[in-house]
Amino acid sequence: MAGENSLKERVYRCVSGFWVGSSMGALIKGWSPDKVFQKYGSLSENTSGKAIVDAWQQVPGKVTDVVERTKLIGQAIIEKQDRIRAEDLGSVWYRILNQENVKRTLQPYEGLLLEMIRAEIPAVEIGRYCDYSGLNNFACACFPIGLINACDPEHAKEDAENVGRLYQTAGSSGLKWAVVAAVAIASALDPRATVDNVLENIFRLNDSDSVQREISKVLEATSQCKSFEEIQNVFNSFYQAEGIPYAMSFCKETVTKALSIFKFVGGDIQKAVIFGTATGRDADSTASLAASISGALGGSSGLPLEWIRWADKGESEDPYTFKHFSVNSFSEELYGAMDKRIHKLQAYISMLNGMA
Amino acid sequence: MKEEISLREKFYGCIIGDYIGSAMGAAVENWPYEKIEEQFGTLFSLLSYEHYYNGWVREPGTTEDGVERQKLMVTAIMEKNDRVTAEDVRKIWIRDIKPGAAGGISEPFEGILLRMAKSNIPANHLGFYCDYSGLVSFSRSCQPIALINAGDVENTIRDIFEVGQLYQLTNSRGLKWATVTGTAIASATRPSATVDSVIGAVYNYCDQEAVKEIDHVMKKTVACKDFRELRAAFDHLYSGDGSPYRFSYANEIVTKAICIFRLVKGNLRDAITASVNMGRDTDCTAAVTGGIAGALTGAGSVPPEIIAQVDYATSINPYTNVKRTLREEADGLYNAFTTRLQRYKDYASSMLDV
Repeated sequence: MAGENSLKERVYRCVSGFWVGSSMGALIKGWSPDKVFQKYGSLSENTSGKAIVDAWQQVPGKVTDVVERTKLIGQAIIEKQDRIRAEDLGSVWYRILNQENVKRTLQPYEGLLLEMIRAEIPAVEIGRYCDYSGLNNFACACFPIGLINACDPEHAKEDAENVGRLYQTAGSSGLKWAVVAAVAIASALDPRATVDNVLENIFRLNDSDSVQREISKVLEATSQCKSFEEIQNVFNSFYQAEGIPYAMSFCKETVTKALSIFKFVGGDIQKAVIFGTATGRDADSTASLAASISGALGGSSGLPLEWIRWADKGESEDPYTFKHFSVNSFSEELYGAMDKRIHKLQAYISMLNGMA
Repeated sequence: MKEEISLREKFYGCIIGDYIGSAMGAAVENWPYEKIEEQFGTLFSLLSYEHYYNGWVREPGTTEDGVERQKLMVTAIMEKNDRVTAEDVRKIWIRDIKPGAAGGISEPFEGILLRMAKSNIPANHLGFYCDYSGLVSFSRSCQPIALINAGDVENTIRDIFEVGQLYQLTNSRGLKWATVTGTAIASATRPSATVDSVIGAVYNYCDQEAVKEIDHVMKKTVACKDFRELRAAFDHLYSGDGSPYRFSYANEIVTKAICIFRLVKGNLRDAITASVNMGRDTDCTAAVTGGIAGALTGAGSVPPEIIAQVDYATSINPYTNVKRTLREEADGLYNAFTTRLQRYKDYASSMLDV
């Protein structure tokens, strides 16, 4: 049986954080921070976010497009039982997705991308035609790339840069931010990982000055914060974009907020979900990313079982998803692929033993 | 019992076959085989030659543009001690390619790619702007990519599609054919590999359109008993003149290489000899065939004085971007490979612990 802090358990916590973050965040996706505060009050007075949780449990608890995107990436990994390339993900899209799925579970522009895949444009080139540069579509969904590269952040970076080309163009900021997310997950799964060395790995492997500056700036500005409201004030001072398409969903904002929350809550997954949700704006993306990194770190107890059940229920009631995955089935199947990858690696090493 | 060749010697064999094939074939590149026969009978020696009409008469043993291409990949691999991406190689291009290399030792189109590489175009988009689809440029230069992935065909293919985007369009024929070269070399480095297992790996892993062509040509040439019969048989399949780089398309070169490799049963000296006397793009054919054969059987069949002459020619080459000896080149790759393997061992063992 997997121990409390085993890799398998941390994979489960990572997935549960993501599913619950998406589901709870959906409740207030697109809300301004002021509106969240007016509706649910101060989190400083009640860090368990009871008002938000109660409200969430009054709605169906559906997960959002970020989970659908993640499930597609996970499906490619599960099919391959190994690390994947953009072509592997493209092949899953090609075989599994149809326009009805996309219309109901993803964003409209993904229907255009699907048409291009069906036209057999190479998957690594599809992202050139995504009309929303810097969007968090891949960065906030790529956590399975971090999982299959557990404790191997260098390869997580390499894979995020390749697979992400289905969503964003090569070398773009959207992919630089995706590297941050994938590296964070891969690093957090290391049994020796701490919040600080997850962040160190992000800085070590990041090759974009602007990404580095952004994260440093916000981490520095939030380093003295004592409460969620103080953090929120810092966020508000940096991020208020409105009036442009997907104004709240740029990587720069979402990933930076997720990392800041991860640091502030010290990897506490429950607080990561609540705080990520309470930030409003792209709340599901922020909450799911912050909570999945925290879950991968596994430094505290997991989420309440009823939260996971609620998110699972929401996921199971989606009639348009290409495939149903509960938290348990997704984490079990991804863990199986991780295990297979390691054994494949071992077989390769054994084959060359004695020759090299 | 036949002695197993060490992995280090397989690396050396691959580099020897590839670089010496390049140097020997370059002197008669684009010649019809009748002219080679008339002048030399069977050619197996290093000759001086001139390329690009630039007045530089090269020392016998001087390697050509394809080797320049791969030396830069070797540098990237040695510095990273690991598999590389197009971006890794681009950094080496910018730092190490000498002014005047394009048109001096490299093809003129490589000067255009270098200028673009110095801009902010992503490295894996550069191949979009290469004006010669299907060219052998990467198929005959991807040996280092296969060696750093020794024994691991899947990652070889993955890396060829990645790094090859410096030269050719994503997923294009030029890269699909490069995966044949890479697959053959990566599988030839496996313990107990044979000619059949190498060709079998190509059939199992590579693009089925490429396999279909190889299979067709292999069947047409299966009765050939020596390279003279083989080159005559190829005449019915690959011929013609008048278009840019008409002798240098990947499908022709790589298919010929696989057929020659089978004919000579993997013997390196015979592989180079057959390729150099084949006519048309002799240096690329010899580099591909030699790389595969050397990875299987090592460098033992190649006379040491030939190796020494290629090293000497490199040492006085005014245009080359890298002056490592053949042994340094092979060992640099081998050391990077063993470092990578150790990293894998550490990773696998730590993952099994958790």
